[in-house]
Amino acid sequence: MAEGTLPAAPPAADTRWLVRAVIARVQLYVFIALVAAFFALPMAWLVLSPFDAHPTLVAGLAHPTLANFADMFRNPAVRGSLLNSVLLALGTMVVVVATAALAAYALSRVHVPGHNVILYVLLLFSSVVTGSAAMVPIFLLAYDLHIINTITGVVLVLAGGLLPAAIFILKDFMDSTPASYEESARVFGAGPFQILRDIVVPLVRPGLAVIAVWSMVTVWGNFLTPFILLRDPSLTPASVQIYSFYSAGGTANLRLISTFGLLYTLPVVVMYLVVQNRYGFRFYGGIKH
Amino acid sequence: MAAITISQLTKVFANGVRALRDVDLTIADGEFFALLGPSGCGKTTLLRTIAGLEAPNAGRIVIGERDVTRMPPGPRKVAMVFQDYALYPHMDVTDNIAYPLKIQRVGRAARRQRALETGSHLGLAGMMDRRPAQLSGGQQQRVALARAVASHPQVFLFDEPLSNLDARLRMEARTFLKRLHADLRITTVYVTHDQSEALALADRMAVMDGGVIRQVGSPVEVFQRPANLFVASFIGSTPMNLLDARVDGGLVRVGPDAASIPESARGLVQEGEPVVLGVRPEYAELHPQRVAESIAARVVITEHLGTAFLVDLETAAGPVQVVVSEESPPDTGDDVFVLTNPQRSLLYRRDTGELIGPASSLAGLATAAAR
Ligand SMILES: Nc1ncnc2c1ncn2[C@@H]1O[C@H](COP(=O)(O)OP(=O)(O)OP(=O)(O)O)[C@@H](O)[C@H]1O
Ligand SMILES: [Mg+2]
Repeated sequence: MAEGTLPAAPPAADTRWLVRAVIARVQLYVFIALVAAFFALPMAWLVLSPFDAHPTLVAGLAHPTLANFADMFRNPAVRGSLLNSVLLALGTMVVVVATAALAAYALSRVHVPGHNVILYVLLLFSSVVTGSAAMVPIFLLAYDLHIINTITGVVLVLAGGLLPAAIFILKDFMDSTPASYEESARVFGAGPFQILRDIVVPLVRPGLAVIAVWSMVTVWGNFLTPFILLRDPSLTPASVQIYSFYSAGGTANLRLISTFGLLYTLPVVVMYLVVQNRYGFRFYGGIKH
Repeated sequence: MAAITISQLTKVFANGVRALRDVDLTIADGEFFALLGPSGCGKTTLLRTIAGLEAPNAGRIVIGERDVTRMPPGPRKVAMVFQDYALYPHMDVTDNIAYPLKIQRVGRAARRQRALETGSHLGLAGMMDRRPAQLSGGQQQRVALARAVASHPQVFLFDEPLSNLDARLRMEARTFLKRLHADLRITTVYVTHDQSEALALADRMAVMDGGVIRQVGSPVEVFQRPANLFVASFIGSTPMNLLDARVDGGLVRVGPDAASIPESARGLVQEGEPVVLGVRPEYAELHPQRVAESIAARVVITEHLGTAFLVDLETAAGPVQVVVSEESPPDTGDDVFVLTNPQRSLLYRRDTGELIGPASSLAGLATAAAR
């Protein structure tokens, strides 16, 4: 986008042409700056407000303090909700990764007729399962199974919604590991679980990492499912808790919301960075030597 | 240490391809046995069936004293080296070599010790903690061999293990394999489509075509006396000349000319019988004048082979190739006469394509080996 790329213009029209190019460039930069500000300002607010003694809707650091954090950790509901979120995220992640790995391995190695159709249909329905449309039947189902108001219930429902996509992504990773790796292990006498543990899992580790982080992040941010299935306030996760930070009059407690918001965001960012550094985010398979 | 006996083995894939048809084969204990054949003839399938990676539709496989036909791969005690080596990219050389031992529940220290011993034996001592991606093709091939050796198998199965190497490395690896086999004396089945490999390495070999074994024998036998027209046209660095002919008096008539009847076929053919005369380019001579029972030809092209010339000729019965020594290459367009050597030429029945005469080479011929 430097001058070098501008086509040569005839000398007479030179200046006019140049002026127009400069104006176009200025307009472009203004537009980009506006867009950037639109996304950056909330970020700035998120990062700065927790350290301000009297945060307002303006991003800034008028009265720097760490008291907000101290206050927040003294609030038992906050601590409990973060812990609940961790439990939900980890629990769902374990269920999703373990089940998806086994299912994807089986689907990749055993040729069930029409397995692609099964997978696509599941994928289609999975967005329904965790969506609002299915909440009434899911509530009734959970109620009848006596898993209402339990962490287990939420984990199972969320895992059910995530599994099809997880299987879909992992199957692609499994498909792209050469069959000869497993066959040579089989000739040496390894059983299916040994092969899965020693050969397949290490080879699809980037895929597993993506699935793990993606399911934790999704659960971490999910509001509807825990909101509906959990009654007991001591079980509430952070995503639901954040809605309780209003004063009795209905005004938002900005000190609490901003501080909690920052804490609530950090794990997601950290997880993303860790996976990005170790494996790079890939949603397709292939052996990287 | 075990012999392999295969009887009536048939494999039909789900898509209807008959990859093996009634294969009968006996491989002796300690033998280096090569399976040779064109692409798609079923070599890999036969090897994988021996390994237990494919289940046969019919037939039996016996390794040593045990019928392994319905046995899973592990307890068959075979080791297979795949064409792509199948080294685990996430394990270093030590762990790769030691993996079979890990499956056999050998302790970690003993396992590493044995991996190091085997690795050093195969010249890998300096690279035991590298990953496969950090090795050259030849080194990867040796790691795959070491892993096979470390598992202490009864049988080695090799599927074109040298095909990923360049020409020079392939020669080295060939010598290496030969030495390894001489050291260990483990029964080896070696799949290749490179006949020079089979000729150089094997004690005996089988030539396959379309899921059928067309000939079994020592490399010398197969090279000297191909049992049928398929093997005759397949074996040899330059293909054998196969000329349609007819028995006429004491001669075989080739177009307007004639050649003497191959010695091994004498007394076994009838007057007027349609036959195919097989003459290796190396075993024919060119003469500038007609000598008794020779075939008139014209030189089309002359290729330099390094130590000899390959002369392409046109005869009334079709194209013929002859290898002549370095001193006397004829010029293009010369009229010459091809004299066949009755001790070395072969006669096939035109209807069945089978060799006329005894299958194994006559005494004396065998010593002039193809090696
Ligand atoms: N899994 C399979 N399913 C269906 N057909 C197969 C399968 N594997 C091999 N075949 C077919 O069986 C035949 C024999 O194949 P095979 O791999 O044994 O040949 P090959 O002699 O090893 O050839 P190459 O020298 O090319 O490796 C071929 O026609 C092939 O297409
Ligand atoms: Mg093959």
